[in-house]
Amino acid sequence: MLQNIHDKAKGWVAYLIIFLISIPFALFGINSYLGGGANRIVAEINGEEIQSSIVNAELLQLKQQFAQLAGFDDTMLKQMALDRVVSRTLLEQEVKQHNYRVSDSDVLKEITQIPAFHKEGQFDKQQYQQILKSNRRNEATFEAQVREELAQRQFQTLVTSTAFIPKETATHYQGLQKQQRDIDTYSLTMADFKAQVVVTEAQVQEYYEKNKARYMTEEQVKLAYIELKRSDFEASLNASVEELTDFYNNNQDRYIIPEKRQASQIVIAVNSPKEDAAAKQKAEQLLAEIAAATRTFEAIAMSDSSDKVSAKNGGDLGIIAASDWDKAFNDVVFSLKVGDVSPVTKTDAGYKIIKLTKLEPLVQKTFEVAKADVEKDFRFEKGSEMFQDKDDELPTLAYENENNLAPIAESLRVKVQTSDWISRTQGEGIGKLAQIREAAFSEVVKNSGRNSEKIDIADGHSLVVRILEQKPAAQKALAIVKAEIMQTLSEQQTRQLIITQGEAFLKKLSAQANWNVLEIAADAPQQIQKLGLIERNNQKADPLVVAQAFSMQKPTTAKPVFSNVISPNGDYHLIALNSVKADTTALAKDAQQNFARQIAQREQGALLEALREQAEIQLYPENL
Amino acid sequence: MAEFLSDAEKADAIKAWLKENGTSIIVGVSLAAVLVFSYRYWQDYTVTQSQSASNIYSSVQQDAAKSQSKIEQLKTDYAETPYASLAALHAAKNYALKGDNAAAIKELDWVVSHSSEALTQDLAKLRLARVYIASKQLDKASTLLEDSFPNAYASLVSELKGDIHLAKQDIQKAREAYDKALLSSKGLASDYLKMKRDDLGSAISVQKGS
Repeated sequence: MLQNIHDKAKGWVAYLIIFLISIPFALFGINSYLGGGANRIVAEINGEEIQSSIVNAELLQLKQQFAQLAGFDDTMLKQMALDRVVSRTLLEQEVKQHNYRVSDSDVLKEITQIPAFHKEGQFDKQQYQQILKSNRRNEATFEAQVREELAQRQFQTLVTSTAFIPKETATHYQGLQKQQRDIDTYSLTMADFKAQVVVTEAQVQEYYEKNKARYMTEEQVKLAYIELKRSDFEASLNASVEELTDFYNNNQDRYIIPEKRQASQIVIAVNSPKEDAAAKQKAEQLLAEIAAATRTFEAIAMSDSSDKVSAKNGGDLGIIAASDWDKAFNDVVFSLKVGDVSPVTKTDAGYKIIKLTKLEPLVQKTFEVAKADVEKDFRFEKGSEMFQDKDDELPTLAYENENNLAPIAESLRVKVQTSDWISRTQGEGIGKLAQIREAAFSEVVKNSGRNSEKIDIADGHSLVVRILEQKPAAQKALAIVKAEIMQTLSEQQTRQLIITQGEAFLKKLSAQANWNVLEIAADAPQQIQKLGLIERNNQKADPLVVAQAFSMQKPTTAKPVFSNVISPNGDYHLIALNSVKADTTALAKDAQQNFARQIAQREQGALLEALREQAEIQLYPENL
Repeated sequence: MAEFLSDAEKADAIKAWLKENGTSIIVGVSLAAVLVFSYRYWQDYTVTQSQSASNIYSSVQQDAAKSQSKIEQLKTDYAETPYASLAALHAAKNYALKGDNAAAIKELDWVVSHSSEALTQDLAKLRLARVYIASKQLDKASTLLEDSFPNAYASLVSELKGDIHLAKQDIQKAREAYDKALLSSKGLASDYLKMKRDDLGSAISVQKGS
């Protein structure tokens, strides 16, 4: 047969065969090109390919963490997610490459400490296997994963748990931290110098001409809109007595006062399995006393119960809510009759004797009593239905009638409303809503003049808007902005004046090394402040002044050294550094360990960075 | 092969070929088997070594005070595992906390010369330099810092260079080195670094108004 094929496979037959064979090869893997392959490569780290699904899982976590915070947009979160996956992968590779490997006993210890696998406070092998099974994991892979995580943890603590600084260094550090400096200050304040500045009309005019672009009104729009609000629909309902009665009859179980059970308990705690038998025996003995009426339940609770809180009140626990207690306790409480005392019962807390002291049965509220609640519930349910129906239709209607709101309003039986003027940054009414302002100035709405998409404001509140009128940005008249410009110029010129004056003072002070050269009058608004010896963490002085004082040149003679610092508000502070006092206290007990934390942080950061630096990393964020 | 042979002829040819090459085939296959098995054995061996080393290391972490003998054991019996270096780093810390810089130097030196991980080695070098500076062995510290480090360590290296200059009272050079350390710290500068720099006085001590 082979010979037959060999003979015939010539010419066009051979080409046909080759063509047929090549089809599967050509199509193999084609789905990953046609977009069917949802899993794409987003990074290549030292040759290891990272699938988008891994990064997406990380992204989901980040979104849950940061979605509420402002300033985290999608691109940023994607970047962060990718970054985390890269770090983690690098760590995994490093750990594997250098044979970090945790022993079986450490893996075992870690697993037995996971609370999910515990039953009655102890690791339970059956529970462990069951949980793994329900998560479709087998023991081997789970243990391997734990082992890997532990090894990574070991590597990460490599830096932090071994970081230290030598005693000498710690002493130097503490010395700097506790160093004191003796300083004086003298301030030239904006408030004092303001009066010396006169802004002329001509200056205002000139400034206005030069900075016209700064004095424009904002572009504004007026919107027509359709608003769907659940509360409106709720209010629009008739809610006749018949409707309400019907609603009440159909939902009677909602209008009840639930049963209330009040109970007391005597607890004999079991702190270790060894005590179990003794505790049980003691509980039985106490129960016998109650049965024989030698002592009352309350008296025993007060003297013998391990639950000291309830013991004070004769064991009284108040009203019992089923969710607060374990099952064994609940079963007993909800089977007792008033006044009954239970047999000794084993619970999570130990052995208990329980007494039901009060039982208020369930009460069905009459329609009259519950009427207000019934009406509220009725309006909410019917209002929600109405809102939901219209809200579902709104997107399609808005799209089908993209140039008109009237047909939409008619079809939904609501009114078209009109807004006030709204700018990009502010507005009244619906203009207060940032989503509305954003939509109003979007390409579709403002430039194309079409309906917006449905905008969801909150649960039970949505809108569609379109442009009604536009007002372009316009130049503000000089008369309107004059006061503002005067203010700006006055501040500028005051700053300039202070700096000129301050610099002149500093020059004199630096030359003479004495405050006297300033000849400050006794009634001048500002005087020289003698702050005396201050520490770095001084809270009373201006922090800028303190920071400057501690980074100034130190005086080498008895004469002070002068410097300056300018506050953001324009105040100009002259500083005299009189002397520096070294710290002579002994090294604090924990200082060496505490200071090590700082160095640990720097070393850790550097190590992870170095790992990244030496790796070959290709990122394809566009595949995310 | 152009000509057709009968089955008997084929068998003969194969036999002849086997006679000629049989030995080398057997040798080759067994060599491959030995290689594969020894590789597997070596792999298993590293895993068990690492695991036992890790186990010993866990107990070092829990009780650093009583652990000196275990640290020595890791260094002698498990030197090829990462745990030996980890243990030595721990030992260095313990000694330094007690103020025994000489012993700390010995441990860090061991890591520098024995660790197979570049990252750990670099870290140990920086720590070693720090202890050298603290014990006034400035030349040894300088020599260590002349090695090349990844960029990620630039800030830490500059800071240590600043410390050396400061110890030599070369204030201007110390300022420059600390400035470099601050600039390359990427926001991770410690307040100690900042204080050290500030204490040398600002080169731009007079702030000019804009």
